[in-house]
Amino acid sequence: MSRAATGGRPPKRGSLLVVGTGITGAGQTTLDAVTAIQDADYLFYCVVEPTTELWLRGLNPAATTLSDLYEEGKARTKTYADMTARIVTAVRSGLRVCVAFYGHPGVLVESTHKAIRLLRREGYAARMLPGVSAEGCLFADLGLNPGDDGLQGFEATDFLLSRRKFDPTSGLILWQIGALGETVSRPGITSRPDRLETLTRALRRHYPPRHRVVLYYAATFPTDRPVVQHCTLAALPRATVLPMAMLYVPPIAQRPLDPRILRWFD
Amino acid sequence: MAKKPSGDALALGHFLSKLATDDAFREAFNKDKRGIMNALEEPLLEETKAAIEARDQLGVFDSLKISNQNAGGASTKVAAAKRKAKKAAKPAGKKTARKASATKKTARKTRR
Repeated sequence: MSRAATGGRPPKRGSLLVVGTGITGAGQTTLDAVTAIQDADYLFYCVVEPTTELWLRGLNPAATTLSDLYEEGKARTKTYADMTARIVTAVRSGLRVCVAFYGHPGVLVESTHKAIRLLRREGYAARMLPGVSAEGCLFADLGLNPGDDGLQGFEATDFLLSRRKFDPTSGLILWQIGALGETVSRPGITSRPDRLETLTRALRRHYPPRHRVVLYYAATFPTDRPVVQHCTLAALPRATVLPMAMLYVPPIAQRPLDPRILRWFD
Repeated sequence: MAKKPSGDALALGHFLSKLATDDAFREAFNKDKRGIMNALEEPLLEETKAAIEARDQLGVFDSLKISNQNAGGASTKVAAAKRKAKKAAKPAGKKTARKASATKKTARKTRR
């Protein structure tokens, strides 16, 4: 690995490569990621598909799951800290470690970013390769081109908590609306109607009640189809929403073009 | 040094990609799962075939539910905000303590 990844110092013996397995697993894992998985001395993984797990264990027999760190009622912040500690300890022991997360390994994954920052500070080579995220699947499945009207994306809890400013004439994506305000892991989790109501109230300040929104779930297996549910904004609090859902809010009427800028472009 | 990947893993990867990209192959698989898997050029282990069949029997929403446990991200922000609020509450307590000691000082001065 290059010295750039370690701030100019010669890298220490252990190293870290973080990769993504996409949403459907094998087919959405890049060739670079597959090579990294195969070549690693040690592989940690956190995937949701049993077939992806089987595939990873076949690619690298030295594979260990990180999913055992999720426990019912355990704070997710603690789970992420434990993941970081496990990864960092393996690298410090001098191993070439690969970590594979489902989706894009840098999207809504805290432990990978933290492990990379920590290891680089200590002089280890550590970097991330991009993967296929749920957002990438959404572009393909909804026929959405972010270049048309622009696109803004927020994690749903952060959107509410930080009162994020956004432009309703551009598309809006809210990640994880099914896990709105959830701080602990628990099975069978779905969005709470009162929290969805609060989110809807925040959106209603910018969109009409009959504005059509989309609840989107990317397909997680090659024979599955993506789930695309259309509803009005007013009906959103009554929907049952799973944590993997993304909310896409299409833009309202477009802004008029700026004539001065238009002339300037001419 | 890393061990060589198993032939089964490579065959499984190829099979899953074929399912995702070849519509005719996927349709044939949906009609006769076992038959298609048995007819593959690269054979899959019996354990792998069973896993694929089990996975494919799940409905779309059931398959989404299996990933519920891992969904996260929201927590960090909420937890951090709660920590911040707790921290912000502390200096107020200290201020009260300082106020009390200042009052004591004034009382001492008055006594002198």
